[in-house]
Amino acid sequence: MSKGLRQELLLLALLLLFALFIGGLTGYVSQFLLVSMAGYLLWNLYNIQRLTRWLKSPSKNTPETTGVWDEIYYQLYQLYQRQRNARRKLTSILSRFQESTQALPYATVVLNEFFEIDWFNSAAKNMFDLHASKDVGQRIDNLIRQPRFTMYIKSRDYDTPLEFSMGANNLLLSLTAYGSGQYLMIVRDITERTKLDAMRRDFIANASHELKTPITVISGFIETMREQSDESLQIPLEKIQQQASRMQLILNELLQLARLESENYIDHPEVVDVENLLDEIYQDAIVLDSGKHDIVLSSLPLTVDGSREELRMAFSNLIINAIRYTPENGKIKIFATADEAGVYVGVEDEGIGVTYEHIPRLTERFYRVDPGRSRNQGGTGLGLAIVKHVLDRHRAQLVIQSRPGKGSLFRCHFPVPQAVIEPRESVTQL
Amino acid sequence: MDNMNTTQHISHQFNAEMQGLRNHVMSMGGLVEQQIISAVEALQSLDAAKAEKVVRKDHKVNAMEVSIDEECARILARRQPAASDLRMVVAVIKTITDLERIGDEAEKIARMAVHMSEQDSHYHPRYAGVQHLTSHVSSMVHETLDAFARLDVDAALQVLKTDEVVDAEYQAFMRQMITYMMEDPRTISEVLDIVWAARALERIGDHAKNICEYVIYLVKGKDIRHIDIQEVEKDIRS
Repeated sequence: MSKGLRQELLLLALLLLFALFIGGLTGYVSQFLLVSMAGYLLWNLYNIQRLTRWLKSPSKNTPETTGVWDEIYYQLYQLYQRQRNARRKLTSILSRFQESTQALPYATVVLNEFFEIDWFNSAAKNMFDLHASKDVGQRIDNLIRQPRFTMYIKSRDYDTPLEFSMGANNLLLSLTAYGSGQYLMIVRDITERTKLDAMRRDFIANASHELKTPITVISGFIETMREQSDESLQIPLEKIQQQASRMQLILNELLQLARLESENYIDHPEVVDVENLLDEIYQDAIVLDSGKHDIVLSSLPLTVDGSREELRMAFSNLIINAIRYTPENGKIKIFATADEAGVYVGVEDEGIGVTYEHIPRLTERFYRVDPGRSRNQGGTGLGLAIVKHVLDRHRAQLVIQSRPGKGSLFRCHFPVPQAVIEPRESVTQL
Repeated sequence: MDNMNTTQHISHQFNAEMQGLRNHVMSMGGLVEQQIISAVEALQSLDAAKAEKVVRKDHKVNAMEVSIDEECARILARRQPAASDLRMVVAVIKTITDLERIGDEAEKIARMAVHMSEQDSHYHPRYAGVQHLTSHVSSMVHETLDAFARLDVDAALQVLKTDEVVDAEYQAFMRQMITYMMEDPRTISEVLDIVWAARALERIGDHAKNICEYVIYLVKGKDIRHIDIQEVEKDIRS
């Protein structure tokens, strides 16, 4: 029993005793008891009225009172203060959180399960011209009406971010589901980056193009000079010619790469007969190899969607690499198989192989596994970069497995369902 | 009446239908916006491939019009909407007609681009007026659709006023082109093509204006067609 309650009971008992005593003296026991009880009730009612008034605006100076009422005021005030502190703390956390998200340089929008806007930061406000008062509750695709964005929302597949242009800006948008059916949309302006990329591509393409003519002229004249000059100049001239033709090769491949990079997808995909294509490449490889290696081809009758010319370029690059890096009489296997995950086309050799730390970097331009070794094998350093770009355009992946001294496996995985190569827009699906 | 929230119906299905209707109009609008931009880009770079893409895509706009039309008819027949819902359906039916026409104008511009690229003509700097007109018109369409999405009467009124600017700009551009044609008759055929494109842009502005009028009708319930803009403003603000 609490102190306040005990006090209150004591008070009540004293009051009753007093009433009984006076009643006993005067002979009106019941009347005095009734009056004292009525007084007690009135006093309590008065306290209840004071309490309700105090509850409207709780303050530190509680009304003067005694007994259990004092304790009630004390407890209530404690409760009130605890709550106020907790609320203050929460508010400060919330405002700190909002301030930090406001300060994010990326446009951030919180969407509910129906893609209606719940909250957005000021970067989003500026980027999409949103209005704080009007646009909360508006569906995001009513305001960002780019067909590609609408399609992206509808697709329900947000694994890869979406790149789209709005006005003069290129934007990179990612959508993440979190909590109970909410989405976090983060948009970055990548105009600068795409511009730089385009500039780099243009520079390489233009530079290669400009260099092509001088080199053609040089190699042309060297051929005539070799015919006319005497023995002593033959060796240097031959070296010059070799290097000139290598430069030509590099320039051609750079131009090819620039062409591959200029568009992300293939305009008019065709159905490519893999077996037939590999057979053609195989025949070429046998002629090129002139019997130095043991080349075998095993292919199932398969097809992939894409560009036949580009795939030919990619597969022949893989095979030429295998021939180049496999010692004489080594075995080279060209294969095409399929399972439920897709179509696999690959080349397996018994060549020199590479250690695992080089594998992720093999497809970089001009990447050299061994900096000490010159390109005596005759490669340009661009072959695998071309393969990677071609496969990217076909939504395919290049898997490389290799062990030094044992050989390498280069496998191209074309996933099923054959990736939709051109983004198609659904009209009828309204 | 300003805050027309469609989430107040007892029938959840009806809500979803009204929301869906609005979303479909918006995505049709988005497609049309893109068509305009691509068409003018194709004209400026005389990129026949891009222009043909615009021409090919026009059927999508048409298909969307048909399907939204059907949806409206279905809602009218099944739900017999009243008050603001009825106005929404009526406004949508009218809006998609104008959107479809905007799509047609974009296609026209694209066809001009194809034609000009075949004629081996150049996109001369003196046609810079088209660019001006385009930026005005495409922002007009964008703001119109925003006003529709937000049911924002003030924004709609603002667009109605910009249309005067577009008209003035079109007039100035025409005058300029007439001067060129008088100066050098050899440019006539080329200039005529550009003039057609500019005309299409001006028409797009008019269609956007119509849509804004539907927005005002939808929100305020007042038909403001064929009424002077100042009077309209007074009427609505009162």
